[in-house]
Amino acid sequence: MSSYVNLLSEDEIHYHSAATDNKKVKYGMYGVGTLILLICAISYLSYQSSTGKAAKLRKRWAAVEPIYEAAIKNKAELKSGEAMVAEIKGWPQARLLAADLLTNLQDAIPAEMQVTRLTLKGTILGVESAGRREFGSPRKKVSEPQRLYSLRIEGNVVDEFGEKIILNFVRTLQEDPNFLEYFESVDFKEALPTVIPHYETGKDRDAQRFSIECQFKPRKVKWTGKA
Amino acid sequence: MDWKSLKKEQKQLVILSGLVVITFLYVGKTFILGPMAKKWTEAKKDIKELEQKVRTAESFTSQDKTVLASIQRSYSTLTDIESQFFADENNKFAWAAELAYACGREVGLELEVSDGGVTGRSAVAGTTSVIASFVPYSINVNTECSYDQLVILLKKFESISPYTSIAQLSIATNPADFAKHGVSFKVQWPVFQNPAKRKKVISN
Repeated sequence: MSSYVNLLSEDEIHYHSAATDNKKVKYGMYGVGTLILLICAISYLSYQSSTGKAAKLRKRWAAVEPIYEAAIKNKAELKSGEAMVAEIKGWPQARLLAADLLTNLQDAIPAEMQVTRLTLKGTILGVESAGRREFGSPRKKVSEPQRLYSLRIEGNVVDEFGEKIILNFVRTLQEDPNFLEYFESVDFKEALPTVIPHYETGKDRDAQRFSIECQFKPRKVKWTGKA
Repeated sequence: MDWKSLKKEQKQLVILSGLVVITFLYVGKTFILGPMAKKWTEAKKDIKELEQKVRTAESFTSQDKTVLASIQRSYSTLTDIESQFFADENNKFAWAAELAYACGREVGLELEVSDGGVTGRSAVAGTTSVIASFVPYSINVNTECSYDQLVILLKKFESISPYTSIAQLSIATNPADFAKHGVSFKVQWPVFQNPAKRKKVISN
């Protein structure tokens, strides 16, 4: 049986260890360098991809933006056009048919009552409403056109129960189904004693002079689809 | 690898390498990575923002054809109503007076007609906008007639069109003739408040 003994001197052992360390340092440096390069390369590619994508999107946006702005303008024009249609279609709905009102009044006025003046006033006013909320902005107050009418009836009643007749007439205006659609309020303004001549004999008669104010329900000049 | 076992040259090499790496990193960060990172962040932000904007814009513009068709429909409705029921833009009074006299003739009444002009609308103070595209053009009518004749006359006016309305009316008894009342009233038709808007609607 033979055996080999590897005999290394102290220097040889030291030399071998130093050579291994050199290699380790060298490879370690290469490793770190490669890692840094790899990180740099990945970062650069990612950066290139992002900036490239952003540039493409900017180009796309530049192409889309004018069309988008035109579309926004068109949408606004459509809203305005639809509002105009709604408004103009609201005119027939908002009008007061004066002939019907006069017919109803003629039927309601008692025989003892003589109307001396009847005044109907109508106007279109911008009446405040809450308005629309747009794109998350606070609700704007707007004024929408409404037709507002008022009616004043002045006359005399020749009867010893004149005031009662007037009050009955006021109640008719307030409660009769023929007038319910018209009036928001009916106010009996005054009843003053007066003297009027008889239309045939010319003889003076005691009478009550009265005046009644009626406010109509506001009528929106906006189509609600009911017309 | 034991630091103590390294030779002096090896130690110097390691330290030098470390210094080179640190210098490289510093220079890289300051002059290359820093600006790059800034641009990169901006690009990322832009991508997020632009993607959203482009998406919204494309979905919005995809409806544009429908929107344009709807505008056309609205304007055509307005043009139809204007041509049929509005006072003639070029000569409102002559147009309205002719209609008024025709109504009077049908009832057998002589009418006095005057131009009431175009009335502006007033907005309530404190409001930011008035949604009103049309204003009334009116004529004033004066006559003497019985109550029944007046009802017939008003019906005639109201049947001119659904856009014709009686805005003011005053009936006063005539002490000399109880059968005939002094009557005055205002008849209105809508007209465009803004002539430029009208032109735009009509030309479409």
